Amino acid sequence: MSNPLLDLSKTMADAVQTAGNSTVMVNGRRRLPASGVVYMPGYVLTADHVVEQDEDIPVIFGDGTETSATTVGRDPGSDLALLKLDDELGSPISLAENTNVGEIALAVGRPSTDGLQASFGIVTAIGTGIHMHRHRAHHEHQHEEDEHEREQEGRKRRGKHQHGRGRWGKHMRMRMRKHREHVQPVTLPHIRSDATPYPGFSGGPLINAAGEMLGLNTSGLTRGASIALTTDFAWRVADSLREHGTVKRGYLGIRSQTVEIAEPQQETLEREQETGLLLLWVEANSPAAQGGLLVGDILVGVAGLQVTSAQELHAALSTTAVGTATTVELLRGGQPLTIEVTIGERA
Amino acid sequence: MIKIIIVAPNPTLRAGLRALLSGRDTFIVVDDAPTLDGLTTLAPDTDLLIWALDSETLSTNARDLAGALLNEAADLSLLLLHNDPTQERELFAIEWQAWGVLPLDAAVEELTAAIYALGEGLTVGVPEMLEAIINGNEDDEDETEESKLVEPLTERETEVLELLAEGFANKQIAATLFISTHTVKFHISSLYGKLGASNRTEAVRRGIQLGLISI
Repeated sequence: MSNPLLDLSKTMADAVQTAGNSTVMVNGRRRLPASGVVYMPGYVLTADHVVEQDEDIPVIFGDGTETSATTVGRDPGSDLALLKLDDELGSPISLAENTNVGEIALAVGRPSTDGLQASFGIVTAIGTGIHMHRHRAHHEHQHEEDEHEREQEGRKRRGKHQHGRGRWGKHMRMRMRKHREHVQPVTLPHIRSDATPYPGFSGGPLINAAGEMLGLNTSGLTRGASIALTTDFAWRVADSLREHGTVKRGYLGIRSQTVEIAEPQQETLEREQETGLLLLWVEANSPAAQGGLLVGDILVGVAGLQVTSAQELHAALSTTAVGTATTVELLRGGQPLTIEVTIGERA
Repeated sequence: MIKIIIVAPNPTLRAGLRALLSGRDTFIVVDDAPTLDGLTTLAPDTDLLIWALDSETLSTNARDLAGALLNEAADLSLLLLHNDPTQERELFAIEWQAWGVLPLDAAVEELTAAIYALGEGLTVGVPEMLEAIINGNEDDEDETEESKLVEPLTERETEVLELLAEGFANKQIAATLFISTHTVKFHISSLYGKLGASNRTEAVRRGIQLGLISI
């Protein structure tokens, strides 16, 4: 008589072992070794934040084989780093063809020579990390105005102070928004799972029940939490790091600061957007300067996507190719303005 | 008449609160339940939710449920009874009519005063708790994220930071800036201190957030 629980258990153990053959220990910092995955024979992809040095990085395989590695390229923006091994070792990890919310997800790590470690969960969410605009349709807007008026009447009748929904409520919502951004500022394609990310799991794979990689685990992008960058995205970065030593990001040539967008300006934008980027500096002859961006402009959107933080702009530029003409939405003197800018490269 | 519902997992606490409040003829407890989803229907004119929580953190679902209550009773205020409410700051961002927070062992006079104050639309609470919630704790990591640099970066440090953001290794930075690797490490160490970072990835992240790195 078959025992389904035993079968499940064996499947998971096998999956971990399979992935484990391509999961290595990466000893890139003084304390707390971490993990890495074999991207190609002789190449290991890991999390940028676990590699503090650039040479003589010990990398250890499951069968005890030890070798040394050098960084080929790093991308702190996505917390990925590619290592080249002194010896052409390792077989690349198998990649999952797709990811589904609810499927079994196992986080696998090799932070010590004692052997593989793993934790169990499911795929909780798949995130693209992109904020779509939430435009208020015109009639919706009108409806809200009527509602607002009615509410005001009601308030007068009840004679209550409305501070709860007013000052402190809004203040708290702003703080909560910032809080949420810090807890989940992941603006890159990623997978969230409830598999516990134990210390040293960063750089290791999140796998499915067949031992195929769904994503690369990292705790470096979110404070106190761990996500997995999708394999698709991680492998693209790895390709770029291998070919160019860096990730070629689009570049505007600005420095900015997050600022609140006042309600009257949100109205002129016709969407709910609480923050934008105030341009503090525009580099001379940069794509931004050539497009006509000025210090004092508040950047609120790029290529049809809301931009509410520097992280979001950074991510938007990551996916916009150099040389592309892009629409940049801003508030200038409180008025909305759309400018076309040709994304360039850092000089 | 202030219409109150009480949600508290502990049945003794629930009964106790009911008893405390029924003494007044300006309050009426219309319902009570151990959890939010244990509430049956919520009358639209309910004024106040008194919600007692232990130290376990609420799930996102519970917070969403709380927000959903406002769809049924638009003028609902919240009085949270909790000993460490800073964990639940997200609750206070919901559009309550008014909100307040007291410790679990609040005296009946405090409860009564809080209920009346909430009825007037005031935010109520014990000063230390309110301060911690509204302004954030000292240990609150969020504060350091948003605060300005204590000490501004030197020009050289900014250059190093920009190169770090591009993913340059120490040797490459040294070569680009015509300085020694040793000096690069020194600048990086200083950057970590000024940015409150413990590794390069974090330093870059903070740099982007603070607008120190051109993008």
